[in-house]
Amino acid sequence: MAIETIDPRTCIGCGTCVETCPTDVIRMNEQAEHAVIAYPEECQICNMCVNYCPVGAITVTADKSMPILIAWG
Amino acid sequence: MNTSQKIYRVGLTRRGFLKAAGFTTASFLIPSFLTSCGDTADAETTTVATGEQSTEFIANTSATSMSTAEPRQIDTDVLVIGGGMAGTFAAITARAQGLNVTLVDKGTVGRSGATPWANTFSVFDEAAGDDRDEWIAGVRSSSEYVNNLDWLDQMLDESKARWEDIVSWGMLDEDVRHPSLVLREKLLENEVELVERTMITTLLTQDDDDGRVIGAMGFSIDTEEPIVVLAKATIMCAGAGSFKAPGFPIQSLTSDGDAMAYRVGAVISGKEWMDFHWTSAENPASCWSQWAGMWDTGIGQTSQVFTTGMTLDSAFAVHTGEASVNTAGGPPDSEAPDGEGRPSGPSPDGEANGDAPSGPPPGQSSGAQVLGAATGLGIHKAEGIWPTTMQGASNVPGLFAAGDGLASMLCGSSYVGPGFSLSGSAVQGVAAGQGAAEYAQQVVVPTLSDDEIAGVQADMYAPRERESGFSPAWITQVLQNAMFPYFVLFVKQQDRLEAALSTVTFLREHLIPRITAQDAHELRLAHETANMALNAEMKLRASLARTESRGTHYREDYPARDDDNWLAWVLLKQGTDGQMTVTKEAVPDEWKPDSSIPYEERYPNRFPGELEYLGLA
Repeated sequence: MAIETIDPRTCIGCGTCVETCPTDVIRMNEQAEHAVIAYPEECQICNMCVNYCPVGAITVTADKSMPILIAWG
Repeated sequence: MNTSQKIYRVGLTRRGFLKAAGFTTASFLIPSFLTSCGDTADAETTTVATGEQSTEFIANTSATSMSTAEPRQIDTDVLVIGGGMAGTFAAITARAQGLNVTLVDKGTVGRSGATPWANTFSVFDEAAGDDRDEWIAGVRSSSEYVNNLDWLDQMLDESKARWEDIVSWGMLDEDVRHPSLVLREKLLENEVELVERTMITTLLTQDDDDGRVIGAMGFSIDTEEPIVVLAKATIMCAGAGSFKAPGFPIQSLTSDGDAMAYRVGAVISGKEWMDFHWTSAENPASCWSQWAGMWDTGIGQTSQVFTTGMTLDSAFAVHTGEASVNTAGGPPDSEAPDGEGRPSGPSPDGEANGDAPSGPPPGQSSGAQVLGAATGLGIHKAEGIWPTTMQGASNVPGLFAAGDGLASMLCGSSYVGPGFSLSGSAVQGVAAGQGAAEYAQQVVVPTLSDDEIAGVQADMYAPRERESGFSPAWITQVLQNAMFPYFVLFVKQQDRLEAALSTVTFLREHLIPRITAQDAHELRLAHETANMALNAEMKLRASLARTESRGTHYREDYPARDDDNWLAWVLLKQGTDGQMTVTKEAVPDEWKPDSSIPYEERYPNRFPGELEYLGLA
């Protein structure tokens, strides 16, 4: 589903993906010093994070599911 | 009290609700319970539920007060909002006048909005053999005569110079990581102050007779810190937007500029036109499946103009059963643009040309396609803030616009040729930069009291402070359900437009005022959702007003052009009572088509049911 993983063993914590993502899906885990998927529901599958990641740590797939529509929420 | 108001009582615990309403457990099961609730429940509406029968899914568990956060204040001469092609040219142009310029971007310049995906730049070059009359004729016909020939003249005059600018900037250099990253380098090189990953929510106005715009307020999406930019002139270059539709990589674009400008009294136009991009039926949410080619091919120039606009007959004919869903609006493309910087291959724009062969653009899926990848978006250079000068000044003093946030009507009811968008943004960015710089040099330094800033700040952070309400994601989902189906905005009819408008009006009146945000990320979504809802209302009201069909606007109940009444633009403006007003402004007579030309020849593209409606079948 959309952005799937940022491999913590591969990620070098450069922050490129954080500043790249136009929909603010990725944030830095400052303590662990690597990037994490913070808001996956906003992933638009544009692949820019994959394209700019210097170490190939990010996996994005083509499919995405939407939440079930409820009466109010 | 009406039913809708009572639906707000979602913060009640079940126990609290029953107590307040004086009901028994059995009576709670009666479907009409929401209409039976008395006002006595008011005191409990913000209770955060934790009990057995809680409704905590609507509680804002991270509500916090932001009213005392100290804003970061920047004083500048010119503020540019949005860092795409238009914003970059606007900022650098104003900076060249010796003024201080601050540019704010919701993301990172070169990586946000549509910029990374725009790679074709239209260049009109008479020295290379381009024929001015031929271009003008093509644009008029493709726009179906609701374009603006003055803005076209400006583009024809200056597109070559702007192309030479971006070549000199190095956007075509082979060692560039990606062309769009060059924009950021040039802004920094020109000492434009960049404020990135910051969402501007509100244009600030001077509390005087003319209510001029004196900058803007927003917040950092990282730190949530408020920011105030006081500026002598403000240029809106935030682009257009969709309803976060799947399959087009512009989900960060939510018509923020139009919405902010509208709220301070700016006139907005072009909302009835429809973008017609498609997405893969197999993986509709995957932008990369569709746009990899745009990313990979680098930036190139083209010199091509359509002759008859987009051929949308098959798209509209889905409704009549004359075309299948999977091919309607699918990717017809255009001939390979030649020239410097353009790798071989067909046009990545993929916009239709009645004279061009069909086939998917490079890198785009050749599988089944469906329309609506950018529902909510209009036509490039034909929606947004209505200009009053050729420098993109709006009707609100101090507010300028350029690019896809300016309803220049360089294009009209349909797109007119590959690369017109990027080229138009560059040309208009320079014009707005010059206009804003001249204006800034004539006005006094703006001031705003602490109380006024505090008032704007309170409104901006209101979603963070609400302890219960509705999430941005859910309201967006409701909005999408109202606006996405093809029979609302692609095949329009009065009753269906009114039905959707009823839902959108409900959102505006009842849900948006109760929108919540648990953190800075969601605060951004909250404001984006409000802006998308306003854009939806604009699109529906403009579509209702235009009682004809033209270009990308197809009314099933008025399936033909009406030149007597609708060689005109629809203008939207907030009335004194807060409601949206709709008026129209006629196209100048000298720009209208020759009415002696037979209808079918004047308008070669057909709408379903059109000739029957006109008695020409």
